Amino acid sequence: MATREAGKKMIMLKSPDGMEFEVEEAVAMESQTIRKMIEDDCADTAILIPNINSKILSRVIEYCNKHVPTTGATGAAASDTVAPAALAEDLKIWDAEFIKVNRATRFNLIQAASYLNIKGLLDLTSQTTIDTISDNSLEEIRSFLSTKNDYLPEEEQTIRRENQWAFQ
Amino acid sequence: MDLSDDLLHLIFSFLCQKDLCRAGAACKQWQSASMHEDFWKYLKFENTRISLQNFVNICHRYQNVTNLNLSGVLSAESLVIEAITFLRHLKTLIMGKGQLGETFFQALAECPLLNTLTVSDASLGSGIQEVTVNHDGLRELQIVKCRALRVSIRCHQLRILSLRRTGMAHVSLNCPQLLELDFQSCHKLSDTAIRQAATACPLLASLDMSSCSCVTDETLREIANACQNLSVLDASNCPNISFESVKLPMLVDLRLSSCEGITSASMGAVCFSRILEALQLDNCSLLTSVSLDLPHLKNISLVHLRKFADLNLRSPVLSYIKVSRCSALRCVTITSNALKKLVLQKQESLCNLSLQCHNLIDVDLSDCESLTNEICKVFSDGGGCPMLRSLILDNCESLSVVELNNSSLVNLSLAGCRSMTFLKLACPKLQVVILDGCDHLERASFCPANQPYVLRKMYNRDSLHKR
Repeated sequence: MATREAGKKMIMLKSPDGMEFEVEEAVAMESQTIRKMIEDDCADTAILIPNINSKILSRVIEYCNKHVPTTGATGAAASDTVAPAALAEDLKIWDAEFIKVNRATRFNLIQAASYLNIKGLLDLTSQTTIDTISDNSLEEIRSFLSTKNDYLPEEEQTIRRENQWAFQ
Repeated sequence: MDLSDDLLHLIFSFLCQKDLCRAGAACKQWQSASMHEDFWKYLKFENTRISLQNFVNICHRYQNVTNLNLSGVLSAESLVIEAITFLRHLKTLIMGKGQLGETFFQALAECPLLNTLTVSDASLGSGIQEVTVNHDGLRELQIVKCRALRVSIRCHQLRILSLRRTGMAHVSLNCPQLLELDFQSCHKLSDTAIRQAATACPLLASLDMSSCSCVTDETLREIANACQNLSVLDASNCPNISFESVKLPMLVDLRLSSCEGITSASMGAVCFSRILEALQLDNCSLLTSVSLDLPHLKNISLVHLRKFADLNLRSPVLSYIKVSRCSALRCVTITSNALKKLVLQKQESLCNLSLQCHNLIDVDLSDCESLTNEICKVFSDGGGCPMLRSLILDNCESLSVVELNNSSLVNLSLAGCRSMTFLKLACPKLQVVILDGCDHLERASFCPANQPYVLRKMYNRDSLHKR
């Protein structure tokens, strides 16, 4: 958890299961939803983030910490010593590691990214799901996304026929 | 964990329609999410191999479709003819490649709201018959790069029509509201065909007939009579036009690039367009001189004019001049209050420059080998450029004596002026002087002498006398 540093404004985020996270304002403002709250002066005390449990919220904060423009990021290398391209490459590798999570966590992260309006995180988390749908057979889509096939055999036949062009 | 409907909707919003259909086949929840109307307003099937049955199904299910793209779809014509009765709300239709017959164009009448139709790279009609587009709601029609013999267009609301690169030999227009007409590269259209088509559009504001090689001055004159609102004209690459006796008083933007018939005599007719703002005369190889006094001219382009010798421009709002590769250009006279930057690089014959440009800040005359010492008067106080801050005279190898007294100049570059032997600067604001490669400089004087100049790559200091 972040500690207070001199000169940096801190924001308290609360998850519904009672955990509190103190983060730099700049990090919190990676979320357009929180940015709007702060700009509208609705963030004097703590901001309650509904529907996002502490486990997911901490991961979201981890993401924002990494992705906040480097000037204020804690522990991140100063931008003037690293070339921007190398930095972007670095971030890509970090992202790929970050998203190696189980399905449930990934869906939770999508939901959180959507609610908090963090575009980069939303793109990152939903891309895996999109790729799964684009690149796999129907059976694989079902098994990867643990969707239960509730069609009757004849229904499934009809639906496959009606959408045949999409499976070519 | 199951995905909530909202989350599913969110993820599905990233999918293309093909993937939506795939996802919908997974289970019932996904199917109902994938069928949300939000995802099915624009049907994008370009380059897919959708069957007639699948397509009709989709059109039947999503009748609020407003946009349909069937470009590159096999037998798209029969898909449209089959499904068009469902698509009552269709506004935009895009077709491409393959064959489109008379029945396709007739079927369009079934879509009363259709306002934009684009057809590209297709064969129209059966080859001998006329192709007729007859639609009362259509606002924009593009038939681009198609193969057809005769095209007839009767659309009373049509505003924009492009037949660019379509190889028809005959065209007939009945579009009284037409504002923009594009015939670019319609090589097979005769002069008469273009004349009849354009003069049938009294409200025409923009006409592109570039690369229609048979267009004549007679046609331009008739268009000028019939289309009194014409403000944009592109007649580039039309070798038969000279523009003589063509009077287009409403013209704002005129492009006459690569026109072999354009000579200095044509400029008299151009002057008749008193509100002209932009003029392009690139590659007019017989053009020898341009003399224009147009009060609204902002922008002129003169590139690669082999015989061009004399430029005289007067316009208070002239702000952009592009002159390059005019190897015969000797004389340039410009009067403008708006010009801030003038670049005349590598005009090797330029020897006579006269400027009355009260807001000119930057001048670059690099590689103008014929410029003589006289140029110093132009850039000294009283020479017509009182705001000049930066002057580049690199590689002007005819300069031998450079004397400048200019009270606004900040940067001066004389790099590579190898014949320069004498330099005398009386420029109180001057900060940087670049003299790389001025090997023959014998004397230089700076006034005031105690000014903090940055002199780059100084020549041998011992040979200089500072006063």
